[in-house]
Amino acid sequence: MNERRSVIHWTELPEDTGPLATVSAVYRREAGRLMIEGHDGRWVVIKGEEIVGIWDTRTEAFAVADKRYPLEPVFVKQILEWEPLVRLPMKWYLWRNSPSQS
Amino acid sequence: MAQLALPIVIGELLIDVRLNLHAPALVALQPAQRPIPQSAAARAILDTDSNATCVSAALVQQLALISTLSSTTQGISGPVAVQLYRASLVILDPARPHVPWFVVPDLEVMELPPGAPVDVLIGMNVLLDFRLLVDGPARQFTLDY
Repeated sequence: MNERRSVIHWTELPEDTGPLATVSAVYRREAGRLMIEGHDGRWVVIKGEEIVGIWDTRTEAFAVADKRYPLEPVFVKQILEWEPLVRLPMKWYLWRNSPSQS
Repeated sequence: MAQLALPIVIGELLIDVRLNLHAPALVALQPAQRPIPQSAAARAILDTDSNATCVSAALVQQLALISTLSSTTQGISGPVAVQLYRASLVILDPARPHVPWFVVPDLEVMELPPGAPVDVLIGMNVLLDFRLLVDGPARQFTLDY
């Protein structure tokens, strides 16, 4: 059985071209500094180009995001040196590459 | 203990679900005097090969799910950024379809690729809340919590 990677180093984070591309770029730019400052494992909230704040838990970070920016896209992320990869079923890749998509 | 016993259909573990905006967004809509969106009914496939729950692009658009996180998956040529949305998920018992059997009020979901033959794929991030027993010879599976 092939081993699937389960984590990547934060420096390998790919460019995000989706609706959160701007904030995702801010995160990739700032992640190294945040880790040097000892925030590894904590949760950051980013809106636009601004880091709104950093909290110890996911619950705290989402509570702030929901209160300040209800119904708006806002970027909430755990600061991690090693990023877990989303593991998708093999059928996902088949759907993505099915003839109906070409 | 709540238990759901369902038949295995065409070799797949399928359940009925309803999806909507995540609970904090629904709460925020009320003081804003904005209409509460109707939840969407869907068929979901249970898949232990995925650690994420995924929904179709059509449902993401229909419900106007809000994007809050991005994550990364392994693509053919390397890591690929993926968008995560927040949603609420209700699992239904077909025998009592108007009563929620299990509710996840705030769940991160990924968008399925276009052309996927299901509306919702439920992965391990939800399945870890249950005991799942597959009785292959009886063509039946049970979920309990």
